[in-house]
Amino acid sequence: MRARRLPAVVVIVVVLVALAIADHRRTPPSRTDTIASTALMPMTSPPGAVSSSFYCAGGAASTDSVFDATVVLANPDDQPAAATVTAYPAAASTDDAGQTAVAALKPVAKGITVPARGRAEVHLADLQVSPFAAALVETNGPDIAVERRVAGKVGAQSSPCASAPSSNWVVPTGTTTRDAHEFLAVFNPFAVDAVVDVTLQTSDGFRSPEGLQGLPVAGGHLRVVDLAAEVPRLEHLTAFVAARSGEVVVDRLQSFDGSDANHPAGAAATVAAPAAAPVWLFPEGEVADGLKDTITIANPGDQPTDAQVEITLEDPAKNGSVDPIPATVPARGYVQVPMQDQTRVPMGVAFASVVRTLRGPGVVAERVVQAASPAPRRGYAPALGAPLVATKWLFADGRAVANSAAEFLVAYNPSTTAATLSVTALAQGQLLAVEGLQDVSVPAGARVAIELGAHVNRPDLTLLVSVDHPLVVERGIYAASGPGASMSMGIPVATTTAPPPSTPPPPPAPPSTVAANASDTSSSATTTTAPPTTAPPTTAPPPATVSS
Amino acid sequence: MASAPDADAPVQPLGDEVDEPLAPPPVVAVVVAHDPGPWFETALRALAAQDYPNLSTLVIDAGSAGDDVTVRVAAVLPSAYVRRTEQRGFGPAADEVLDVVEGAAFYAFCHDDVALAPNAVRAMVEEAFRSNAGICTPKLVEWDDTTRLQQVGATVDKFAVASPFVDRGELDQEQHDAVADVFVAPGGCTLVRADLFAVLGGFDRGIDLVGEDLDLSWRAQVAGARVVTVPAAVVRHLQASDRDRPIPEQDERAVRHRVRTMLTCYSRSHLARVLPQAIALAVVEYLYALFTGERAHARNVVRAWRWNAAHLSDIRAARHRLAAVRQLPDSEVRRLQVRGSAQIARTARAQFGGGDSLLSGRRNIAGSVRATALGAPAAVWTAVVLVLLYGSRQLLVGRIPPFADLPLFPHQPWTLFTEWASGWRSAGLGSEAPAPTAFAMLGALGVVFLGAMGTLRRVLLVGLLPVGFVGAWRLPRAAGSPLARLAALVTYVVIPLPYDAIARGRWGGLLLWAAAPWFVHALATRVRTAPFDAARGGRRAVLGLGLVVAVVAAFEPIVLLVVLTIAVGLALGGVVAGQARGATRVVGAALGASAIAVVLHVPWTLDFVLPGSQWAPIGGVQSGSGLDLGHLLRFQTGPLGGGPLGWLFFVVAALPLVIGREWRVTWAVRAWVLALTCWVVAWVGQQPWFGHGVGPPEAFLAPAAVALALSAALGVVAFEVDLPGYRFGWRQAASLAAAAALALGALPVLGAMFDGGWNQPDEGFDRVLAFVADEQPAVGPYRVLWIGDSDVMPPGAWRLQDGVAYATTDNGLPTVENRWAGTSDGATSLLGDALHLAQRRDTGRLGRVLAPMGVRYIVVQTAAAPAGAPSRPLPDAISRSLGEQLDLQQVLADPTVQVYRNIAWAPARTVLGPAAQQASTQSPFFDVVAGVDLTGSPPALVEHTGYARASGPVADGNDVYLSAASSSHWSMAVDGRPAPRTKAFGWANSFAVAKGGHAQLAFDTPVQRYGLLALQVLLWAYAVCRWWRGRKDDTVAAA
Repeated sequence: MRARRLPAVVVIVVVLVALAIADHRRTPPSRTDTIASTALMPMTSPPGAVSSSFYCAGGAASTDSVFDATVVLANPDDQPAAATVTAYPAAASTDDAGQTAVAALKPVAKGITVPARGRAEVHLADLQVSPFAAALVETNGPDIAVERRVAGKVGAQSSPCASAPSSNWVVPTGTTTRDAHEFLAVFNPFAVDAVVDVTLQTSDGFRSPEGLQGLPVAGGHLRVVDLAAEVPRLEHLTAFVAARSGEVVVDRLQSFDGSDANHPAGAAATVAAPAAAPVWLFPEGEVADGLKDTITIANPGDQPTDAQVEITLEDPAKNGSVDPIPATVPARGYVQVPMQDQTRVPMGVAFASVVRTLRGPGVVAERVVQAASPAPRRGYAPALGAPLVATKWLFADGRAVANSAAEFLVAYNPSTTAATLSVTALAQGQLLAVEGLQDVSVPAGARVAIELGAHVNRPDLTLLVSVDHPLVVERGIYAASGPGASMSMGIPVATTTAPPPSTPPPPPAPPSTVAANASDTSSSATTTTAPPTTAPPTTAPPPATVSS
Repeated sequence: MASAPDADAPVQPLGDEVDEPLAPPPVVAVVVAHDPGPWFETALRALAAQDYPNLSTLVIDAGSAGDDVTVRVAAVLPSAYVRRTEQRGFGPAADEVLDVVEGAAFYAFCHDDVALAPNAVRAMVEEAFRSNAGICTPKLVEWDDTTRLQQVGATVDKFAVASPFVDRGELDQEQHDAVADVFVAPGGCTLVRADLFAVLGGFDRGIDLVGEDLDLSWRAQVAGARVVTVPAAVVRHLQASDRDRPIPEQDERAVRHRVRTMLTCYSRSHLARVLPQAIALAVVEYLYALFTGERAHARNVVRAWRWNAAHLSDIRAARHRLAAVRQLPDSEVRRLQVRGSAQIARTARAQFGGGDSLLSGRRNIAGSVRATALGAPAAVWTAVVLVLLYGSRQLLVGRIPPFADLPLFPHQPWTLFTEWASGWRSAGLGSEAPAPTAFAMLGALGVVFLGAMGTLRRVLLVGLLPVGFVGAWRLPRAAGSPLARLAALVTYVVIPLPYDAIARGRWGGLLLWAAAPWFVHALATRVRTAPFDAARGGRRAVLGLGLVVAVVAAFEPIVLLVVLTIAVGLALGGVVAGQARGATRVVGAALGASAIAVVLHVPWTLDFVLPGSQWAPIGGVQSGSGLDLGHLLRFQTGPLGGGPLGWLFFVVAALPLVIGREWRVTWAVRAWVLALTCWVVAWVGQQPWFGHGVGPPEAFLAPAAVALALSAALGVVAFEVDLPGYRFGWRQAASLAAAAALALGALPVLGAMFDGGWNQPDEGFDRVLAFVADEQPAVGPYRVLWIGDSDVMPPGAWRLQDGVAYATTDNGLPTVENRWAGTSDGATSLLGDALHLAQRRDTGRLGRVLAPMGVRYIVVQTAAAPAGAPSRPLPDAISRSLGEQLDLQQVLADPTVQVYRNIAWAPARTVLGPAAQQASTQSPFFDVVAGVDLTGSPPALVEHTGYARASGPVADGNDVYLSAASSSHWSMAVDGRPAPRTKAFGWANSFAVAKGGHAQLAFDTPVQRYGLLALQVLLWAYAVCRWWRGRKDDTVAAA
């Protein structure tokens, strides 16, 4: 029996060891919410959706407000779409009278029909007047895009509404200086109550205001937080909103009255970032006299992140290329990169920029353009970068009217493959291919800026941008006179999105390179402890145009 | 060593130290004879040879059949007197001396089967004077071997249970050769002072045979006399009652006479203290005897007390007589008694030290221990039962909370019968799938339990433990070693699987654990190699196995795979062991049994094989928190089994691999390969890449545990058979290590028994979620949608995604009726599709989507119970998707359970508004549902008139919507007029009511379904009858 015993024991031991090895190598199942983690920016619903919702948390339902909000719905489909817009009234936390007035109000819903290949608008003040209001837009139609336009005495601004709630939001920038007002609109349209914590990383250090901890946001309610009431007057605040329970939508409402020369008058209501991402794309960028372009990189993670800002100058064959700007973003902190302070960024040369993480968790990047005299445009225009690329982009709002408003589209192709772009307008049930904007080439790693006024003249310009290779498209709307600047990414069609390339495209062989030199004291980003400096004014460049 | 006395040896003179001999006191040797055997002459010659000068002999013939006693006495000892008397027993016969003898100083009461050494009487008389003893007892030795001791006095406990100072057969090494006070002078030969005997009134006339010696000794001491043992007096004792002349009802006499003695000899105050204890001990003795199979002794105990109760007047008279001569209090008398209970002490010695037994009598446990090793099993079984009872006390008498796979049972068994017989299944959104056979089985059991469904639930939980234990005990029966069976039993008992299953509420796992030893045994016998080579009835055995598999499969269909895995494991084991013979037979038996089980469950099994079938109803949904290999190998499927102690079972089971020979090692290899096979399958079932459930963890770990238990048993056999063949060395140490490992491995289970419920949670969610069920009468019929990890959900759930399952209930909380869900193919899959929509953010109005399905509540469970159960967190997408719905209101937010109320819900039977009615005519469902708002729809047909039946008033022109899968067998009649049925939303039912009235809704079960059910009953009856007939044939053949 000895002869049989040994092989048997060997077999038993071998099987046990093999099992142990196999067990050691097994990977636990991923519990990551892939849907939530990929919902990085507002986008249309996928084709299989039985219903879709957009959440426009920030705005006012009052014509007296600088945030007087209008919801704009675009329907590229060939069938009209029924939609319901529900306005939720609210008042700022510091507005006792407003709170009292709002307490008696209830959400008001309005059913509308968005015509096929057309658009519809709902002015919230027409539904119900309130100091602030959020809008919930529900529709069963596919590919519906919803934007929110706020308008007031300091100009108009349009930006997409959120297409999904989240339990975490990041607001990279904000200002509570004496000339400014910053509100956080925390919107909970759901039947589940939410409790949120708001923490702030400011130019004065980390703050966790007691009044903003455990902030209840009842289901079906909008809560507007006046940050000036919770923190001192500060030049910069990065806000992190985390829901202990429930899901919310957070918008930032920021306005400047123009009394401070450093802050041109303007107002904007933009959605916060629901998640961090490794890459953020900004097709538009330019620094000039009176034109400041600052990128803020916020890190909501618990580990520091090494990132860099890559700059692609327009017409690199002519303007050359520049080295990336490194930036180390501390955990739960932020870093600002004022382009106007970067000597490597030539004045008057348009550029696209990419914020890319090299090591560590993802970040949130927002660019703030402040334009004042002598720049030809004036206003305040914040915009989150695009964490995704797509082949179809929708712009529900827009206006290109001579002597009134100028609208630009700027496309940036971060890939190594050239793309071809076509612009279609949704006009009264017709898909109008904008003449001169068909098959526009966007070279690999390059940007293209298009002034729509040269091709179309409409006050209700709803656009569908189609590309044969995924890229990112940004829209700029500028008032011809007076304050009013609006910059935002388009709304990608859900099925056409893709993550941007994880590595930068190789720069085209430049004839010359504007490299950082030893005297470039601002060769790297400033950190939270060092407020950005203002670069000396230079000659204002003309707006970028497309050469067709 | 004492010298061997010889009755035929020449008389030895007294020592020369006596110069002038005194007149010796007269001694009368009283020999009570009754049909003496051939030894009688030897006994008489020994008396004749006594060197005591003043010895007379009186032979009392106690009812012998003939006159030959007189003749035989005259032939050997002519000087002896012979007196005939009636057959009244030893004591009453001996008492004749009080009437016929005068002037004697001592009586030497002798049996007719003793042979005194020549100096015996003299030595006892001398010692009587020297010690002032009233009674002297000699050293009794075996008749055939004088070097072996038989009795040297004895003592008793307070219950009059004798405890001899020597073990019978003990080698005489002069270790007892000292004069000493004893409590009992055993019968055989006893020297009693004549005046004492007269004062005591002789032997107790109420004790005819057996026990008169104890009684006399006790009373003598009460009267102030000493009882001493005189080892110098050696007496050979044949104990003819053990061989040639059995005493009728000896065991019963022994018990009843010691009880009589106890009742007689104690003073009143002492008796008041002792008697209750004696009664309690008698009850224990009775139960113990019953448990160990000593029914005769159990009967004797009862009869003994009954006999004494019937003779109370005699006992009272004896007590009066004794009280008259009492010289010492009981406290003095008891100085020579042993403390405590001699029975219990001896039982312990018998079980653990191989000593004497609990039970007195001719067939005692000590003998059993030596002969059949029954004593150790009895003790171990007693311990197992005590552990089981103590550890399960809360389950036996307390509340068993409904959680996980321990749902509540319906109040009446008829409910289950009705569901079984109906062609409609309410699981999910309903279907026409056949009902599980388990409904009929539970219903039948409910009838057996007279409708006490709660008791049935309790029995079905706790009762499985002994089933598993007995299975493990029977498993190595063929090995022929009681200790091996004990090893298997103990190993299976201390492996923590069943207790973990109870703690985690996995009733199905417990069932499989209980069945596993029986499966392994049944398949092992199919191998037909030693020691499992005595199996008979191949087809009948397969049929029997198939019946058992079918019964288990009714509750856990995965058993089909388990049985096949066991067979494959045994076959592979044979191959690895180099003995592949029987491999095909065992696999064939498993296949045959599985096939039988499948056939017996027709039509239910059709649900598993027809198109659209799914794996989840068979193997369940894979848990998101799978067990790793360490947990599986240590059988740690719950709170027990962790830590280094969990590995000790490997040590226990490894013993036969290293010391076994021949079939011991072959079967040990088979057992190990079986265990490995099961571990591999269990491990695969835990892997996320596999993606399918393989039943509860116990499904495949239980056979692995059985294999280890079998290996442990084989280790014991190898220890008994093979180890003596080895030289002393490491193998002996390995045996000790295995034994120590088993002892240490038992500690966790022993520790866990103090909980009383094997760490089962105290509460389920039934109380927390009572409102989920209570609202139904007020708001109308609705469904509850349950979401959770499969580990915390009842088995009747469908797979939503990896590690997440969903289920529905119609009546609020899950009951046993929800345990078998069947496939979700058809309308039910819409529930999962809707949840997927929400997860993908393809809807923000999940409530609206679920409204046509009648879902009012969504319950998300992250633990099986509110407290005491581990957390099983769900993927973030679940809570996120529910939290971001515009029409789901969270009404309960608990760390372990969240409840969402659908504020857009509609009753499962409702009246559709015009818009909804119009929309319901369209399909597919998800294209339509987002535009339909059923909020506020009124309930309809709220009177529940039976399973799949409802009624109620309806108004003219109403369309009654039934949220159940569309079926042409649904019908509604309004005041007897049929209402036309149409398909609603592409999957449900709608009935158009032209003219209002009282409506009756019912599902009409097709006749074919009844035919199939009748066929199923016939198949079961045929299989059972066939098996039973084969069993009888086998019995006849064996005879």
